[in-house]
Amino acid sequence: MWRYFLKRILLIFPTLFGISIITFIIIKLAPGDPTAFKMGNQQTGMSSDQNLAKQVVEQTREIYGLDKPLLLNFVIYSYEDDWETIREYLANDGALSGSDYDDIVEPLKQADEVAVPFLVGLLEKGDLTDKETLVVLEILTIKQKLAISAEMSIDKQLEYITNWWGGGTDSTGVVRNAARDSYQFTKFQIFKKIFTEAQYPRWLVNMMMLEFGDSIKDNRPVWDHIKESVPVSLIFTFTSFILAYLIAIPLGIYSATHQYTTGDKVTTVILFILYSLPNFWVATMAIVFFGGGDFWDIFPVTGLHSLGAENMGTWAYLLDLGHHVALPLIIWTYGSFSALSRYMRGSMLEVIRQDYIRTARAKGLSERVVTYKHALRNSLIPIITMLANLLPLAISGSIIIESIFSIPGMGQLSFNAVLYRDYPVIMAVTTISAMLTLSGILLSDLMYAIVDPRITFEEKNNG
Amino acid sequence: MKKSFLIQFALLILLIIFTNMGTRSSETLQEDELGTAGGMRVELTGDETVFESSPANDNPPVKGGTLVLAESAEPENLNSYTSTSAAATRILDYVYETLLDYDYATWRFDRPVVAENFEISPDGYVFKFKIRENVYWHDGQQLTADDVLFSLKAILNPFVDDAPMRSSFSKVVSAWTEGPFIFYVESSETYFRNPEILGGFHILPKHIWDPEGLLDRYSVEDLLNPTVTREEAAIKEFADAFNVHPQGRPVGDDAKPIIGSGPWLFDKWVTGNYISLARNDHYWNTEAPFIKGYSEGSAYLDKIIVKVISDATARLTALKAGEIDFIPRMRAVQYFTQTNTPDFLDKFQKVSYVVPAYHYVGWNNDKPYFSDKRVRQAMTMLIDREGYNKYVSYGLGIPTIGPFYIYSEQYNKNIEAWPYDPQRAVELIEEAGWLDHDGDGIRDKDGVPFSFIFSISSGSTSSKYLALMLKEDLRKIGIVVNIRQLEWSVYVENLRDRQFDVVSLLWIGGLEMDPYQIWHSDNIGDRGSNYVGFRDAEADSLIDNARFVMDKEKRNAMYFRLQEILHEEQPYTFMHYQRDPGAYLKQFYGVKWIPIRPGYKMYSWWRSTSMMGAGL
Amino acid sequence: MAEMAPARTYGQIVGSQFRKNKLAVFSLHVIYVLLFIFIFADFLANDKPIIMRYQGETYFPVFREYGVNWFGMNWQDVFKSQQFKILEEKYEAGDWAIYPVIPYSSTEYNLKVKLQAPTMSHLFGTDELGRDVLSQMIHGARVSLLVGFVAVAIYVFIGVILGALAGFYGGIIDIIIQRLIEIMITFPRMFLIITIVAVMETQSIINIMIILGLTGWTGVARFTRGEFLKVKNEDYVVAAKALGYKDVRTIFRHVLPNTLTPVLVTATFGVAAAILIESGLSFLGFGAPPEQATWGSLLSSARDTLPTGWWLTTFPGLAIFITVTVYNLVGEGLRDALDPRLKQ
Repeated sequence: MWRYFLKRILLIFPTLFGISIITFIIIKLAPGDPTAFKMGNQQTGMSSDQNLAKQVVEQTREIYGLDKPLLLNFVIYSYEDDWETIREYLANDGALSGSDYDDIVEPLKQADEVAVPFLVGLLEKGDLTDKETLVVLEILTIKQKLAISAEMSIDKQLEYITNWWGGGTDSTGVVRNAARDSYQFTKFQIFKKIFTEAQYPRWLVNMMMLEFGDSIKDNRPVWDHIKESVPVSLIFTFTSFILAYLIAIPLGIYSATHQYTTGDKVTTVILFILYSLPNFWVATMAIVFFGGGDFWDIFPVTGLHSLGAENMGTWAYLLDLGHHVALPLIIWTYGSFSALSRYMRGSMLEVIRQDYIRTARAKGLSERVVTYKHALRNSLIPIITMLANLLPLAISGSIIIESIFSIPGMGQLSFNAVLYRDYPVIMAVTTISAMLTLSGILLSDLMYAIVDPRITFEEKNNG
Repeated sequence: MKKSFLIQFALLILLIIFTNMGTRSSETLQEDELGTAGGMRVELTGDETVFESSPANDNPPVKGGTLVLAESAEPENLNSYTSTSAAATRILDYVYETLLDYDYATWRFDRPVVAENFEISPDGYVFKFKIRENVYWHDGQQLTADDVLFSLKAILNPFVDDAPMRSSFSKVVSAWTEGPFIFYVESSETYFRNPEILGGFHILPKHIWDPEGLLDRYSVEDLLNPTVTREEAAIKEFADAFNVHPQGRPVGDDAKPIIGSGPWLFDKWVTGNYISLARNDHYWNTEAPFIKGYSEGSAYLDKIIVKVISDATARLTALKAGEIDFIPRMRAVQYFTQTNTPDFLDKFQKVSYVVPAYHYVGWNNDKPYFSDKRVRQAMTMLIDREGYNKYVSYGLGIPTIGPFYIYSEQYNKNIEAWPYDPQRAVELIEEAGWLDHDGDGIRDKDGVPFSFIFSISSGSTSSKYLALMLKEDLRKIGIVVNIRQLEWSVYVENLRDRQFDVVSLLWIGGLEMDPYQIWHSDNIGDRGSNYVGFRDAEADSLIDNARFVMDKEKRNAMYFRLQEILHEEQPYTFMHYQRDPGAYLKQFYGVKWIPIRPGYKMYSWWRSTSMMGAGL
Repeated sequence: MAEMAPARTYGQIVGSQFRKNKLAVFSLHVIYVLLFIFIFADFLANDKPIIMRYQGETYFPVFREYGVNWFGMNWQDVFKSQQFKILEEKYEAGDWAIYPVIPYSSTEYNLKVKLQAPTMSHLFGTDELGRDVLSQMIHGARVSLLVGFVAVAIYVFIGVILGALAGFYGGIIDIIIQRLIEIMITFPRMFLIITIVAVMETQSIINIMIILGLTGWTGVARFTRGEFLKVKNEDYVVAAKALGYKDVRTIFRHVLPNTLTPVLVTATFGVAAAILIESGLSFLGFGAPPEQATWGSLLSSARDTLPTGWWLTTFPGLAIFITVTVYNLVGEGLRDALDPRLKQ
């Protein structure tokens, strides 16, 4: 058995690898990028005095390393071929803007510093067509952050580049070093860039080290966000989990022991009805009717605390918290009763029909003893193993309920991260949740093996 | 058995319907009531430059009291330069100050704030600001010209994550100080918006943000020189620290407060819950009036608490329940149908106020359907803007014919809006050659069917309704509209790449706008915001020349002409300037509304204590 | 089993067991009603007449609409603008039209009657654009049910195949498929769905179905795998192997049918769950495209009108709730009926 678990633990790594690739691909395939939110949002609109030019976008992307190649950075060896592709494209009257153009210029931009001497060389040779010159100037300007822009005349731009590349005395009389010197790289330096200047290798390394970096949205460490949101979500997931067990399991036992009675049927229908009520609908109704709008003022409907809660005494604070938590918690929980109690009922029914229970009955033990001493204990086994689900619950939240009740938990954090394309946060949420779920599965198998000695894994896995 | 189930079922449904109908029967609004719904409408016409919605109070304003207002989203951070959200600016405007600000009586950008006065050199290139000698930071240190210079350097540092803001400073060539209280900045052009840009940035305290003086060694010219910025590690080092500076994100109980110089102090930020500001009792500006024509004292409210409530229904419920005092922006449908009870009107004052943002429909001028201006004109005439405004926006919009703010001197009042005239529109479309040649019920021209995609961003209800209406209307005249709902980040990307047929959006402007960014043909493609691809030689030259005309009359005459061109070409269908609906507790006095973003400033608000509980 | 009750087939046994459960039978009838609405939505709520007589000719506009949408037909010239109601003004003697019970389409708007409480002309009231809520709900039923069916069909298909392969072959295939299952369940599902929806640039209910299908198969796969492990060593399978039957044949002819019935129960519950998830996605703005009325999108766009606009949330909410409940009750009934132990 221990060999089996060792194997299982080792198998976690390929799974994690798979997860890293899938999240990376999904995220990178997604159109849209985080810079969009620097340009306003749908409610307030876009600011007409802000320049939303490509250059602005690219600068922002660069700060977050989103301009680099996806898997491995081989463009640093192919810039000459890439240039030929551009020439061909231009020779065929390709436009100097649009997504086709962007795609074709992309590799040279990604080659970044390595390609600069080559590009400047092209300019110095001076046998480029006008369009080609424009392209080279654009690439140099954007990636090397030169203080020239397309609004200037080409001659002026070229002159600037000559000065910048060759060095010399600038207008204020200060001697500047030639930029040329800082663009010399050894073979090893270039080789290193294959891995260091590509997005996936960075992603994988960061994921393995649990180094998620800073959120793109607000520059705060991702860990800080998670540390803030996890406790909030835990209040709900944990309490709701316990509530669900406390209510659903007795109901399930009742249903099983009173199979086909009216009581069983009524419980069944009520639980299904609860399950079928869409939670956002119920939440809205609850806010309108119990939130102190035009009807009853029973519960506060926003956030977790009253204003100034931090100055309250411990009891008052907890009471305040409970008051805020009650409504969302009920809505969080009511839908989960049905599955759990059905599960309990099924498991109980199964055990009741086992031979040893029949034997117990035949021996003349009272129904009570049979049910609660023998049947219950065994039917709880599968339920107990479900406790392992607690682990991933720590990081999951509810997007819908959290956003309706303004609760700053994990659901809102991850939902906003997806909308914002906040890659580091997305990575953190998926990685942590993956690890917790995997450990949860492993733990549940382990518990199962300990509780139920009949299970042997060797056979199950190899047979 | 079966019957009893049916009965139970029916009972259950009835029960739910009854609980929904509630205790009060609801009446739908009559058409003529739609206008106000018991609220005030801010009209800033004629001489009125500020609109006061609270009744006159015989008692003088008193200090004290708290105002809790609700916003739908939290600012991403409170770093004045790297944050781009309006939510951040709305808060930081109370904490930080600028050299100049709007004069609330004339609405020109020339009211000295931190600057005592300013001069522009005769050639118009150099601005000289004399800094007041009595301005102190919240921590007691004096504000000097060094701080101003430092702030400008931070903005210009290429590694600071403020690219959208930095782009408006592209004309700065140099800046320097002379003694502790004189600040000079030189621009490469005599641009008419220079005072607003060069005097309008928040001043940050240098001793907090750059205590080691990393940027001292570099001049503004250095920061504009890529060779220097590339070689000098300290510049990047500063920027990296600046981008994540705790001052920009003071979260938690132990966070150091943001140090500014404004009339309110930063108090606390509880993530996902609220941000609070407290009055600065040592505020330097004790002059009366604090802002001429607006506020006598600088600040009355002890505390301003900005609570984050993301859900609109919850927001309104919280207001009704007394958890908050003020909702600056509610949904139109809430304003007109959910807040009409006598109780509500008794307790709260509803106001709809103008903000400089207009709603438009942009036609991609390079698409075959919209390359002909007759089709674009026809499209404008096909949109029932009046009906849309009346029913969908509840009459909150103010019709506009061009991009300029209706309350600004730039707006050309002599142009008459295109009428709603579907018949004339169909004629124009047919004139342009869009007929149903192949008889499939869809108009076409040169083999291209008139079938386009209307992109809307998810979450924008008004655009959604507009698209749905247009789809239904155009279907009847043989034009197919497909609606594509996109997330904001994708929407913006498509906009930038010009991968769209039609978009519907909101532009936020200001009192004085420069049309260059949006209307000049330079800005088609990769460089600017002319997404629809509007090209017109005359418009280009008007825009180019007007930028450097310092004489307001002459400049506006040029913009009037530009609006005529835009009106004729209809690259956009200009829908409406927006009116935001809000409501506040009637305990507040001195509540005034202004034509600049966000439409209100707390400087003049005060909470009456004697009225406490009166309306409850 | 067959020996014990030679007169009745397995299906008959299950059927009679199911019929004993009155609640499930009732729910099944509700599902029939829903299916009826699903199929005949266009004839129940439409702004086009079913039959009309105009200028001496008889037309069938609703049928014609199918022709136009699916078979490349065109509208008759008189109906080019498809404004049948305006056409009524031109009626001469002898012209008439029979409209569906609800003479509004789900997209037809009329701003003047917006936000009206239920009246005789709009039984369930109107929304913010003056569209008929009942008509939108009838057409929304299509979307909701279709999403449920197709999504579940996809994931049952994937789940059964992968589960069968893993359970039958074991070894390396099993290991790989198990890893796949693990990868799928480690993502928070809603999070994964939203991310994928965000990736898809166009919005369509087909996408939603595929995504729900692609993310939902793990349960079925694990279940099928377990069943396969159980039956693999039973005599009939061993016998089939000994007879030299090909693997595929063994899997599909002999083992699969025995595992499929429990999967059917899972699928019934799955439909209910998918309808709920779709409504949640619509609430978040990730559901069907705007012109497509769904119960979820109706609910979410109507939230702001509460409490005065109660009809906008009550009816779609009830529709979701009733549909999901009846599916669950039928699933429960099926499960009980299929339980072999009940036949003691």
